[in-house]
Amino acid sequence: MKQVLTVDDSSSVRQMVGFTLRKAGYEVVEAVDGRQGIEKARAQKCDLVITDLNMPQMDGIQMIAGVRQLPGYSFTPILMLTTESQPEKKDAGRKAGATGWIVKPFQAEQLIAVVQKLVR
Amino acid sequence: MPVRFDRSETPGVIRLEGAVDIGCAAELKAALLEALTSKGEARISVETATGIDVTAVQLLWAAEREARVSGMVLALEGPVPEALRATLLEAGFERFPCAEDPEPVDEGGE
Amino acid sequence: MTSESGGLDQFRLAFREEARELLVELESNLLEMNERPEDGELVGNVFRALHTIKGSGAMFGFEDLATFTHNLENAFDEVRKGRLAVTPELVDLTLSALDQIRAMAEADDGETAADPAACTEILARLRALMGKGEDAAGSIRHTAPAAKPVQGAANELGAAIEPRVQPGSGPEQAWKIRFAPGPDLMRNGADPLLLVRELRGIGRLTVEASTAGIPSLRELEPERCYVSWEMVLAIPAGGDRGQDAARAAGEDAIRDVFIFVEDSCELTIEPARVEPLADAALANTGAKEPVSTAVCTADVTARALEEKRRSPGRRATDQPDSASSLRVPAARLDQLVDLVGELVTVQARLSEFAAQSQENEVLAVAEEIERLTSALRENSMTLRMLPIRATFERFRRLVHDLARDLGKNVELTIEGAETELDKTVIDQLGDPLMHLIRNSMDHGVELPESRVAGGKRRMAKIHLSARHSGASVLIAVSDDGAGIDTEAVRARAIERGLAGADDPLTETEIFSFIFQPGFSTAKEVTDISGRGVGMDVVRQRVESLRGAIEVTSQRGAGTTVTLRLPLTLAIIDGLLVKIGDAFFVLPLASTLECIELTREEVEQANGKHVAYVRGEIVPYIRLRQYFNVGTPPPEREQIMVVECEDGRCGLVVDQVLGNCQTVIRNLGRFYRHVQVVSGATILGNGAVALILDPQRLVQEAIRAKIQRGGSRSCGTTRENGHPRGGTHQNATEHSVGAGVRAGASR
Repeated sequence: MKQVLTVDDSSSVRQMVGFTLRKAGYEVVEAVDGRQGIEKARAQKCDLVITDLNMPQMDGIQMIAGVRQLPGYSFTPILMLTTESQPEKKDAGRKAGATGWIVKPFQAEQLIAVVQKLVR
Repeated sequence: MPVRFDRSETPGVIRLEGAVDIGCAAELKAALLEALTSKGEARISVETATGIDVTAVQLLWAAEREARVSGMVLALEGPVPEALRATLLEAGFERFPCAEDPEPVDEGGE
Repeated sequence: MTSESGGLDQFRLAFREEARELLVELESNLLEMNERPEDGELVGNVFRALHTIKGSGAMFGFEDLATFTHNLENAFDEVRKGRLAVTPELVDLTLSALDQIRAMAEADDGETAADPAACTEILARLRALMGKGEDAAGSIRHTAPAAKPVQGAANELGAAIEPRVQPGSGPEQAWKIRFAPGPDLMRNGADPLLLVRELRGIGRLTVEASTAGIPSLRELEPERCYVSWEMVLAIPAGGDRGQDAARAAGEDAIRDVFIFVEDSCELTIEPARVEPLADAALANTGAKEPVSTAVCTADVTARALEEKRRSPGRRATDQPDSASSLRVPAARLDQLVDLVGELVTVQARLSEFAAQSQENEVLAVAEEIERLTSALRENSMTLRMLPIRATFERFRRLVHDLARDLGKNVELTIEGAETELDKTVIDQLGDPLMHLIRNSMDHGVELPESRVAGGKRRMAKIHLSARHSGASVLIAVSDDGAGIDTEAVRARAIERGLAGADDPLTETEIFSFIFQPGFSTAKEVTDISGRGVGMDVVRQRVESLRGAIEVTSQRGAGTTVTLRLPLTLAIIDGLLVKIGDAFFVLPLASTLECIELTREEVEQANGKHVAYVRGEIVPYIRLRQYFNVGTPPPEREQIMVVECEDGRCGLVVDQVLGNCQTVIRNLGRFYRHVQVVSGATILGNGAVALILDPQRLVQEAIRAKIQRGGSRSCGTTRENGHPRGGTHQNATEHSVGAGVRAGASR
């Protein structure tokens, strides 16, 4: 079963992502900020990382760059959740190694559709 | 390890297992380069592979082409799992690389 | 969690819970910001919390909330970028906005709990504030409702959701798509094959991979995609939409597929002529290799794949949640504690039967169950323990607002916020603490001028602290204000007939008048601490939690009010004792030791109620006398030495029966005034035992003594008081019968 790591400081978003993806047949690992995200990614190889950008401890951009450096994560798809549509955020994310993004708010079906775009 | 070059057999066999994707593309390239240096014949087994992506397809493609030019035989050993065949068809490749060898399939290597 | 209907409602509840926490955090950050306007970390925290509230709110259907919060978020984004300064006005405005957000988050469907007029005003003032900033106009325009995402976002959302072109009959539009991945496309985690697959979801696709670009094996960079694709996609034109609109929608849908890779690929999308399936493929093969069979089998394959993709999903819902903590409604915990309470009672009965049966096996089982019950009890109690942080933190706002209203400078400091208490206690603690803080702010803390004149810091301090002390938690509210004017309190007490004009009163006694109903020395009634109703409410509430209040104060230096509260409410460890035929329970936590009291010793003491415990004089209260038990005392009685605020004291009982876990039951309204009894419990044998509050017993005894005009020295009260040597003569005015025969005690 494919593993998805969801990193968000919002518990309700984590819950929503977790619930939706578990229902769609993925295994979901949760982390509350960038630092924990990297720890969890290191501990367990995930097939997709979905991360918020604005988080305490370590923000999403830093985390994306960090995850990319981890062994086994060179080509793992990484999605950023963003409410900002400013191109500079997305660019920063892309530079750090993000594969794509989802703009909040999003619905469960959208999430699944985007995930399927990146994970078999 | 998704890519394993089994040199104990003659001809040598590159065994691909599990998800054969970009994560092991460099390894696959190295294995194929080695296989092309062997004399006359090398085989590839995808029997236990569960998935394949375009990086692997293009490597196999390139290797097959070079083998043909140099007159050696680079052929699949064993069947291609349906999932892999479907992936390739869906993506618009007309056949599995190394698969449609002029020799009959049941000829095998045994 | 596994429920299929888990959907939106569950998330709404989760969001509400989260919003509550974030709002508390926001509030304290904002208040700190007032003191440290330059603190970038605080600004970051506030921005992030607003951002989260907005983002999650919009996701779970709180559109108003999201839109409203978005404006605030923008303001703090400006602050973050140094374009807007943190001013008291901004902080106040944001604080009042938080109240509206809170109302919106708590609102149920269709009901607007927020005040629209207030919201409009807040936004208008915010806009005015931001107008001072450089780029304000731009950012305001940017505030377009989050629910209706801005231009770019709308497209991106479309990636998956937006009117996916519906398959169906009717005219088709066709598109010719050429897709050549750039060098980095796959390195960034995207997979071209998945994108091609996604196109299949839009319409009927014929696809051909071109392998012409693949270099020699040696030159081939393994992680770069050299394959490119030529595709024809036939999309149903869709019902009544105009042709142009349909085409635009079609093209958008295609572009959405490639949205993540737009910058790292060559992509051309052009209209093509609608052609029958096979012809279309033929027509578009400019390729070197013969036309593939893929065209014919693609649909079948896609279906098979679809099947395969779905199947793991069925297994998935049964997977345990991997999150490390979960939220449980408090009511369920209450229920659990109730059940454990019942279990404790039943277990006590079982132990009793087992003891009577004398059968070893039964005894062993009973002991095992006792052990498990005890563990279960402790475990379920810890489930209800919460840190007091949230309760403490919300007073920052109160102190801030009051300070502003009263024209005083006050800072609130907090200590021991991590101290854990039973949820029930925490829930009931908010009001009393609020009254205490209001009282400190109003009566304790002086105006800045008079503080300065008195040589004090201009900024007054209110300190909230919590710490554990045995089976209790001590919660203190201190201020460095003027202290309690004991003379004024005494005068007021005499005036109200609470004390005689010549009564010698200790400070403690004087302070206790503050908690009398309607007692106030304030020269003028203020809005803040009201009309003296606060403090007696505090006392009542704390006492209903089986807690106690202690006041210390020093004129000119400040006042500290300490609440002593039990850690838990529902079950206690006790010692079961017997007096006559009646059973009582004493809380184990306050019991120090047990010594014998012989009739001889009683006689030798000359009617004084004191015992010598290892050279130390310990006064005692004879409970059989206190409760007016008529039977003659046994030859040897037992003194339970208890620790209370006034020192050590003995409680004399006939017999100590042993340890017991006790579920506390309330006695009900009728006995509410009986303060020395904190509840009752049902014993294993079905008898009722009263649970005694040693602290109160001692206090009552002292008070009774004082009222009788005896010495005030609290410890050894009775030794030089009335001659009360007899065991069951001279019943006191406290006549709480052991058979739950209660009289008014006080």
